[in-house]
Amino acid sequence: MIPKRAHTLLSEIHGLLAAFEVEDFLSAAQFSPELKDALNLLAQKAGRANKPKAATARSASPSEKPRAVARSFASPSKPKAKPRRIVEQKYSTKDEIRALLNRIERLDTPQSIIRLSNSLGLNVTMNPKDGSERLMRRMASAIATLSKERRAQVIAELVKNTGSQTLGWINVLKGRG
Amino acid sequence: MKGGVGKTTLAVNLAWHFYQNENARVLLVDLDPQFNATQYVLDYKTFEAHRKKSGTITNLLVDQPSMSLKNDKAKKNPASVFHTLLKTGSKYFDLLPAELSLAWVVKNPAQMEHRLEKILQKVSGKYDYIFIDCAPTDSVLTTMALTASDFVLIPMRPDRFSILGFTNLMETIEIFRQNCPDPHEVKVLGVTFTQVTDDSTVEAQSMSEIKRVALSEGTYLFNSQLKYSRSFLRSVSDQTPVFNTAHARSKSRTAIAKIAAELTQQTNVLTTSGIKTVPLVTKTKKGKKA
Repeated sequence: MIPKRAHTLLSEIHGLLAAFEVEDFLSAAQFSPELKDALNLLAQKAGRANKPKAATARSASPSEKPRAVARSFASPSKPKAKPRRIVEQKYSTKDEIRALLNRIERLDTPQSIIRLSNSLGLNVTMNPKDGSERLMRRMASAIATLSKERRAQVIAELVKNTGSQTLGWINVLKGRG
Repeated sequence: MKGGVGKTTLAVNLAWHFYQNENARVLLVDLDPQFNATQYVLDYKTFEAHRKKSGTITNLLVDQPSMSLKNDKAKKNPASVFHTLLKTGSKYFDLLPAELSLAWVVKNPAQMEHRLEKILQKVSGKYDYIFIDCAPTDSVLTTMALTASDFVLIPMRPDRFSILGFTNLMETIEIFRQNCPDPHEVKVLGVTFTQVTDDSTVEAQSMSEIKRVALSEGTYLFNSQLKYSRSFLRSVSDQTPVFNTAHARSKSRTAIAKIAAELTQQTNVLTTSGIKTVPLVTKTKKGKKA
């Protein structure tokens, strides 16, 4: 039975190993003399964790590390989230992108929509009589027609800007919408 | 007749499923003054814009000058109050949103029973499925929903209060059938368990008790059920159905499809056999295919 704190610590370290590449650990090692050795060791572990499962399991020697750690490295956790793919799946149609735009705070005037579009490198033009609704639709169309990779980048940026729906709804309920 | 059993979650997810996975034209009607179904699928900005421009179900139902639709055209065409959530090719997913002021109907119930039915009759040709998300307490809203529906689906948590809620509901339906001036044949599709944890004997006892009660009432019990999962909380927070929610458990993703399949099957059975059963809570109405 692993003590709880040790378990938490190991989970954190495994999390780091899953989230960062060998190069990241090596790079970080250059900036911290105190942690240099530890980071270099983690780089080695990250390298092993990225190898195929069977090979890693064979290379894991019980004498080198505690059993729990060996078991954990033998089945390295999968690279955590694949946010880009999930985001793409979720916001692939114009309607879905439009819904996402609606969740962005302070995106309610034509000027704010044009500003955001420009900052994202989108070509959204504004004609004299264009209102927010129309511009929002135009922006959604512009995003929908981007290449897969570029769209994922833009959507990831937009997701960062989405505000709290709960607070918004509270304002609606209080008649401050 | 019981709060917190997952009526809204089930109604929204089923409606979305039929649109997304069954190529259907779907309308979701929010008939609860708490308007959680509206909050599930709409962001607050869109809701505010829609309410100001087109109104909500309250404006369709209420005749009061201060609340009814100002535009005569809109009165004749209730669909103008609907909000199209999603549209792909010939299929679409519309919402008839609600708001807190729907409670006015509960306080002023006179002559209200058939209003929703009349509204939906005008648009039924446009939809393959109409889902009505009901309020948890018995009121004129329940009667309106029963009057407007062909079928009733009852989500039920396996606990003691739900058994009592189910009994209350059956009583309400019985009273509805006795008092309804225009006998409307509304059929109970069945009971589906929700928020099942599979980890307590109390729950297992409740389930077997519910089964016994349901069978004695002649009510069908769905084989498919919704297991308790945080994926549903995530889905509500993300304002997306559970089957589109990132990192949702695969069991939760597939559960909706299973319930939908059983719902379709049960609808067909009841339609073809002409079996008359009793009704309700979250209900479904199958419109005619155009």
